[in-house]
Amino acid sequence: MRRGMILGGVVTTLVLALIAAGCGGGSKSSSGNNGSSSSGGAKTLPASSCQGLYYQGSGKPDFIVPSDLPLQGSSRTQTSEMVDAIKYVLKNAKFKAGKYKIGFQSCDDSTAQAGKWVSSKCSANGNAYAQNSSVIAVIGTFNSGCAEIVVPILNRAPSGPMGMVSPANTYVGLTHSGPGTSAGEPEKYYPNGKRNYIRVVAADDFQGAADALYTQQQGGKSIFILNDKEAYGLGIATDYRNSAQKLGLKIAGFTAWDPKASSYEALATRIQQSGADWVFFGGLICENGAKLIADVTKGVPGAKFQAPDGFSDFTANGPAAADMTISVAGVPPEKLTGAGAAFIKNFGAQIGKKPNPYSAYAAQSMAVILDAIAKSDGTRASVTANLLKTKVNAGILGTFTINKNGDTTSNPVTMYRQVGSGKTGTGVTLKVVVPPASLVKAA
Amino acid sequence: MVTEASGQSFARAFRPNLTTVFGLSLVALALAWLCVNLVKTPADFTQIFLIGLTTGAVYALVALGYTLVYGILELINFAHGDVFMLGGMMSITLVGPTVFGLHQGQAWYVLWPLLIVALLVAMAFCGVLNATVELIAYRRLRNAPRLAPLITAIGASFILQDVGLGWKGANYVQTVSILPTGNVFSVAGVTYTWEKLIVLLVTAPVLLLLVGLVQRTRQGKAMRATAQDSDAAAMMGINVNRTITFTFLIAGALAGAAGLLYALYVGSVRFDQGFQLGLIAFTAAVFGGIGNLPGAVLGALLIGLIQAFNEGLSWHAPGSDWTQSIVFAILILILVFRPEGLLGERTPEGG
Repeated sequence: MRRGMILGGVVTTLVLALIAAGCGGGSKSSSGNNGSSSSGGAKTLPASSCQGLYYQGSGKPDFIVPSDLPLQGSSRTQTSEMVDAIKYVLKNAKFKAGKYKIGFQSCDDSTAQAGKWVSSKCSANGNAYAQNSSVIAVIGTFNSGCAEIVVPILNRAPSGPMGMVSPANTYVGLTHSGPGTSAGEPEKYYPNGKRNYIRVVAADDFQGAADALYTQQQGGKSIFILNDKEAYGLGIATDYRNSAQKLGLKIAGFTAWDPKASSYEALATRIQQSGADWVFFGGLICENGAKLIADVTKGVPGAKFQAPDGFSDFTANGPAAADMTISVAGVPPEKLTGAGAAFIKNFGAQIGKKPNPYSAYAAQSMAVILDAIAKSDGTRASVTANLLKTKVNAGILGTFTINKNGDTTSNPVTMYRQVGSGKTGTGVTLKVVVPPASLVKAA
Repeated sequence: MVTEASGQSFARAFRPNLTTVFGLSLVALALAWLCVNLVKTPADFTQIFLIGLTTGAVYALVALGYTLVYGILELINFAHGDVFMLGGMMSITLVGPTVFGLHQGQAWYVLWPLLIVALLVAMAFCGVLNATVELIAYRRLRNAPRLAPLITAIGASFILQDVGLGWKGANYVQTVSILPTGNVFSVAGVTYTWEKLIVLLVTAPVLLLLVGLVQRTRQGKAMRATAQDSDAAAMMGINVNRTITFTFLIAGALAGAAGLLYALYVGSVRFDQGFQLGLIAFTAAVFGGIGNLPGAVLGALLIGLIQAFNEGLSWHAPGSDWTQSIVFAILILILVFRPEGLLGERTPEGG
């Protein structure tokens, strides 16, 4: 009797599960947004990580280009604007790349719990792109640590390697070796031996060198360097240190900050005690950066403060960051000419404010991908091959080419001064620095 | 006159074994390191000591809640850190522009009464929240195997984290600095600000009040009796359930006070900060001897000082990279050499 009841319960559960699965399947195919589904020509990416398909062209798109950015946490304002910039370019191209019709999906590699990118999401997203035959190339990632996970997955993608264009990764080891990179980099990111990754932003050896040069030009003599222990943060801090040493500046200290700490007052006392007149924050704002800036600026009142592009969301840095120098690779939006100036003017009008520097990079990334697709035979491998031959003439970021490593030949770095905070926070252009090759080599 | 036999037993008792020598050597090394730093940079050493003391005081308020609940129920209430986090969020909401609108430089006759109101509201909010968690999640598991309430506590912690996430989002919630920031004193390069002193001025009386409550009141006597033997306490007419709920209420109120202090002193709260700080506070409670109120405070102050010395001292300090490793290595050493913690296992009945 008892056994019969248990058996009945199991059968009932199975039947209910089958009914539920059937219901789920029905809604999946009809909406096109729940789970992977076909929207005619292209199969969309799962709604668990990606927003709905953005396509306003005729019929159905042939291919999808997703972006992979952290859409939650401290970077949200910046990355959401980047997504808008990508959409802007695609819409202006009438959702076409040569003879192919292109759709776009914005995918998220962060979680609300972490407030930043998480490796499990990067891995899951990478596999979703690789397994979805409609995905032809990827824009992303924002964080170098996430790129370290996604690039090798796309490198082994079926009919690949699949191309990836980053508007924001600056970690050196992704494309070439050098001081501060790990053993086996960058080869370990390309397991099939072919390159599939390019970036339109200058790497940290350029940014670190430019930052150090700027420090010297502004009279900094003794520098205390902090890092957040992540690939990007430690990398840029190391590049900055190497360049500063080459320039003859004194390194008063080089240490990490604990992103989980409640207070950095003791650390600030240590910096003050070191006699440093300049403090460099190598890391990301989402690693408790605002609190760090608040405590260190308060505890080291006579010093000047500088940060790399990990702090380039001027709305997130907090009031204590006022007057801090923040570097971003590339020329400032207002100095862009031709297509770049038009982008800043028209996109700025669309969003109702001065675009963040990275919006232009996101836009250029989409333009580069559309160009590569247009020149391709419609396969992933062909698009990737064309990405590695990229030559941009008078594009949004000006004129540049991509070298054999996947790096851009356009390497200016702009120094901004943080003005205001919160929603009114913005960066005022101070100077564009182009570091000499000898300094970049030392970084 | 010492006989030969008694001499042998003395020698046996004090025969140094390898572990003891190792432990004592480590302590001696740590003390020597501190002394060298003190001699080399006395002003900075003192400054860092005061920073560590203040941070430790905030930890102490959270650790007291852990130890209070453990003392009476032998339950590690993992949700306690998250109650503290929600207390911080409630405090930021209260002092922020939408409710009191407090700001730096406000007249003292406006600032202090409103801060006291905020403190009371935060304490009441967290007290009721903690008691509710006990009522819903722990009470029915009173006689269940120990693993059941432990897993439930972890579950409650995640639920409260998600409440914080839903309430204020994933980013750090910032608050403006409203506590007076002037110096209490500034002597020979050592400064101590009012905001730090206020943290100590709140923590010290709270500890004294709590010890007084446990040792000198009728309710405290009921708590001690329940902690010692809940069945016997029930037979003597003590309402055990009410006593346990009262304990959770008090522990929650402490978390609320800590939440307000943390929010005002540190200036930001995030939904997952309760877990991190709860872990430190729980470690502090174990450090000092879990179940022992002064032990929890001592453990918290020591952890605050260890963190500050490690991150702030300049002569051969390992730095922030190693803070967590050092704190937990010291905890392991303490537990190896003194498993009952620094002040021994004196549950609330011992005061």
